[in-house]
Amino acid sequence: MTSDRILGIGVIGCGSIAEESHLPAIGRIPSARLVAVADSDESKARLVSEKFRAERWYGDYKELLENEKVDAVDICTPTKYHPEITVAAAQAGKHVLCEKPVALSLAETDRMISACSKNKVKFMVAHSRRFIPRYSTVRRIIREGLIGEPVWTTQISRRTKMEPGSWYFDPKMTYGPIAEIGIHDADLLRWMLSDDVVQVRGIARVTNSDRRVYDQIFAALKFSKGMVASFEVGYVLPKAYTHYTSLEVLGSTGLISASDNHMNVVTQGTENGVIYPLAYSDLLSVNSAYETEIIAFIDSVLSGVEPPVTGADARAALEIILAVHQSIQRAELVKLPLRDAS
Amino acid sequence: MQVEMLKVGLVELGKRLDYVPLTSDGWRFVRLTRKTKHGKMSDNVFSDPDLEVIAILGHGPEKFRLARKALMKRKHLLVDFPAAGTVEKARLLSDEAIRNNTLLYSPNLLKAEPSLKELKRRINDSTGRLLSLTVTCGFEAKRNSPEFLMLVAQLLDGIEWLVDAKFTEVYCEKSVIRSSVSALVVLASFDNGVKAMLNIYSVGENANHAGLWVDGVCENCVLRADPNGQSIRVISFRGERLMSVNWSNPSIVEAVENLGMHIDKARQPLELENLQRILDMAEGLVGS
Repeated sequence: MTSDRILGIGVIGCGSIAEESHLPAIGRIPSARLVAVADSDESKARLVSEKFRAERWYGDYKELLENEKVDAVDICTPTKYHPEITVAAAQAGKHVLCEKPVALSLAETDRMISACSKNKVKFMVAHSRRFIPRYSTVRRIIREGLIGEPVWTTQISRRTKMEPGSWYFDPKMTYGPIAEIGIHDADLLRWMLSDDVVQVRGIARVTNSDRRVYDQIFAALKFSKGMVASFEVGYVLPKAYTHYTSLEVLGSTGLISASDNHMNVVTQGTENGVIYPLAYSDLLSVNSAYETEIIAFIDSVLSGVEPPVTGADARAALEIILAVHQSIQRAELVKLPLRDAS
Repeated sequence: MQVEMLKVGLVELGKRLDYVPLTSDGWRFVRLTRKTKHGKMSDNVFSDPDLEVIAILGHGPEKFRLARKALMKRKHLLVDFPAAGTVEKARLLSDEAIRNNTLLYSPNLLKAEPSLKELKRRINDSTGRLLSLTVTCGFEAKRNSPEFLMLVAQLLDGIEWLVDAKFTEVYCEKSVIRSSVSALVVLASFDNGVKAMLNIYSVGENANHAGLWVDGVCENCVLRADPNGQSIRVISFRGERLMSVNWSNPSIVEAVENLGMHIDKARQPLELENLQRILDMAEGLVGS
């Protein structure tokens, strides 16, 4: 931290991501004070307020925005509501930390970025995986040139099967796992490889007839420097098995392999062809990402620096996901940048 | 009375996924070379009159020449699928076998690999419908080599066997980095609705990065076959279990025993039509 000040935070949306991840993290950060929570379900807002000792609770987020003790909002609602709340918060002079994906369209994202810029408030999107030590270590290894020039990478992000009634399967609220999970893969790829995607192809399926969105998606991506990537996302795991993620990056002289279930190693080629397996304990760790993320947001607000995940970053990740979604629907290759921002 | 052992001359090209025992019931291997990948084998390598069968495992620049030489020396031939890098060459081998009255047997040894067999058995048994396969495969061969094409063809044929369906749609994205390392990302659909994501990379001479991993996502569980580690990981609603398949017969044992049965019965014709289809598909993916 670069300041002794404490930031007053209002959390909007009291669903699982707020209750299980954001609110406990805020409670552990000395420079954060939980001023208020809001949820359209008033009983939920009251319960969460009591559980996390918020000073106030509201059934309408607009009332939270009128609370002068709130310096910044942490938006944890379903994606559909992100644009409206972000713009309103910016207009009320509140800094904004918004859950991913930033929005459902590029036009809405542009409106959010513009509102925050115009009202001179910080805008950060919660791409939490950037704050997981495993991924920051992978990025560092790549940037240090330990595996040479990246050639290929693949990611798998499988989550447990969800109840069909969840908003995660409501096409009015989201595009499904491609948006809710795939956005992580899209953002991580850009961030770790410091490169932009130029074309994508996606295929998908609906594994159960009661699902209204594609719940298993595969994507192939090409980057401007010539490397290729693939990712698989889906709500397909047995219910008792909450999630599985894995990442591999192949470079011209080495390979990084990091997954939930396997030994995480980096193998490096040398000029005489010898391979040295190198173990990185950081590749194992997935803890404390939300705390690190929120501290980074607070730091950017209090010290005036740019947040580590900007609106432009979130827009670029969303553009990849929208392109994959278009590719699935049209059954064809889609090139970026997308022509139609809507 | 001591039964005479069938003596099989073994030629290994490239890295193997499972181990090769030197003997089993009724037959034994004689290693003709440990590595022919870079050097040319002598034409006299099959001159031992006691060698009744030659087994050529894997793929390399010498594969076709050695296969043809074995048949010309009137040896029965077990050669890993695909028998050759083109249908024309495969037909030449077939003609040579007929001319010399020997057996040409070309099974896909991936289909006999213990962890992949176990994966397929479990997919068919109790896992519910197979939803998808995610395959990562690293080859030692260079991407523009005939060897790489044959490795991809073998993989595609093996995947169709695992899924129990034919490819209906295949999309491929290739890396264009200037490096001895390169990669293909393939998205595929099958005629039974299964989807697949194949990551195929070439690591040049870097054999330590080569290998094969197969994830099967089923309705009731997730399976991961690791032929390198001779294991299969089962993730089901009852928890997670890792089982070793080390106790299983390696693929070559099954292949040689099948070959023995074919020697006693009719000849095994090459399925040239399927070979053509698979090689065309592989060429479509690997080609520029």
